[in-house]
Amino acid sequence: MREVFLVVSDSEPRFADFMAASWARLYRTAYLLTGDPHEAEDLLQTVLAKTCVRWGSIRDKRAAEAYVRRGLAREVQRTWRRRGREVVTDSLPDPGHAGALATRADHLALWQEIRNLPPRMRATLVLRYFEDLTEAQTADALGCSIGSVKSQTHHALVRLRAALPDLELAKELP
Amino acid sequence: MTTDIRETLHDIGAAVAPPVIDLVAFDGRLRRARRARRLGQTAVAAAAVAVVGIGAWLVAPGGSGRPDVAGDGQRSEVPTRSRNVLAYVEQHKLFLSPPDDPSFEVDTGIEVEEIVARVPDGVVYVDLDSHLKRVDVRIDGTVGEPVDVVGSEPIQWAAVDATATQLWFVDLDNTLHRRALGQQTDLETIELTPGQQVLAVGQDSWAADGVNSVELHVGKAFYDVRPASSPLRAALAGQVLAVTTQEGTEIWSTVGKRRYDALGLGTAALSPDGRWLASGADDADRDARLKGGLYLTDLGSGSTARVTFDRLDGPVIDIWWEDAERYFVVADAFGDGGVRRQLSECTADAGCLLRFEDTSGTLQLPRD
Repeated sequence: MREVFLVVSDSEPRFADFMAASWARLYRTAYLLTGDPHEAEDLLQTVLAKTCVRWGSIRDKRAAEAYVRRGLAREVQRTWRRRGREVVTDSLPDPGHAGALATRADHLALWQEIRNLPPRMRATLVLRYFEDLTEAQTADALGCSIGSVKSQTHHALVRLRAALPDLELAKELP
Repeated sequence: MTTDIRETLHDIGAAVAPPVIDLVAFDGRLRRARRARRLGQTAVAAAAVAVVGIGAWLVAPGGSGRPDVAGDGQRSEVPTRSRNVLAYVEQHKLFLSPPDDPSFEVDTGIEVEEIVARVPDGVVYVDLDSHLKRVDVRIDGTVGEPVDVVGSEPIQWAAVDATATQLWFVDLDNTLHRRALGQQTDLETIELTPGQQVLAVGQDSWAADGVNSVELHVGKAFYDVRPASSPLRAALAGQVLAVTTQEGTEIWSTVGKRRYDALGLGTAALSPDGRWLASGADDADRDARLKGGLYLTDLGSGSTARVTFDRLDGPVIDIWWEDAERYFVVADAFGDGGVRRQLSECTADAGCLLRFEDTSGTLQLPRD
């Protein structure tokens, strides 16, 4: 913890506390948004550095984690723009953590398909179903309309159903 | 289905092992972030201007820094009131405020996700099921029966151009349609590429989000407009394209380009005739300890005036132009009772007056 204080200067100890306490939770969100462990770490470090710079002007420090999550959603969007158009491929270039995760086989299969979704669709699912944001909050975080959140969710569900016709979850779909 | 997705995401999230914080890497990022912030606060000089491409969308040097308030530019006279019915949304309901009594409002009972546009004698809106609807509005605040505008299928996005004659919408198959408002046949049908997002529309022009650019289509001509950084929003009015980026709002027109580091990246709004740019200090500006307030830029002369208005003390949330002269401003106000939203009515040649306060904190103006 002291090392963190040295990095961000003595005048900002509360940010260091915040970063240490919330790093793991925020990393999980970043991982689900990017689908890649290295990109997740890069993304989170970038957004936390920006947050640190603005730490003094964040009025309600209790809401800082939500502030960072919103920053993650916004920053990941900029990354998509830098990379250009979304390209949907049949295979993943880097299996990342997915192959090594100790979790249920059906969940791993579904996660692989979620990772295959275009980034905005994946982010919509993560914000709606992992962060439990409302449609309006998700739209705000992604900087799009509520209609776009609805349509992205709809299309994501259709794609997942098509990709996993044999899984039990597909039978629950309307 | 959503239960499976929820469980899967939580399961995967829990199974991921977060790495130890790399403090050396973080230190480097922190220095870069601080440098970027300092640059942002000292009014970045105009960035190198990229060549647009062809035709009349030319390039000229520009960049005015933070709002450069002209010496004689303060506007403080009280404007006359609008003679139109104002339409707005509170708690997902369409409300109307007749022009002769701004303290009075009509709850139409119509559930609305957002107002797409105020059009002559009516309102075009998206309902809570993403259907595009229109409802006639009369001067006494009564309304007609809502009708479907483009059939019964949900849509992704819709907009009406500044002249309120052309309706553009994107269907669920990611196809952009242009129709004369009130008509059922397409004047243009454009298949968008995956991920392509429409940012703004004009009478016969539309702009989409490109790779660090704005793809501007005017009739059959195409222009690759390159702003200083990734576009966040855009607006089209007449021969003017306004592109908002993290660096400010850039104005591209047939006579050249200027960049204004307008306050309020989320609020800068172009008047329907493309003459004025209104912008207000939002939360980010205030967090950066920049001066708050409301600013009006004359895009003809390039001069910016701060609008003197004592009642505006919180961050500006939204600005909407009713016509070429009149605009409405939503701003937060902080008090003992929590945050309230204030609606003010302003004119370009005078100042503003407070119309009313929304205690629900959900007030939304039409988008276009």
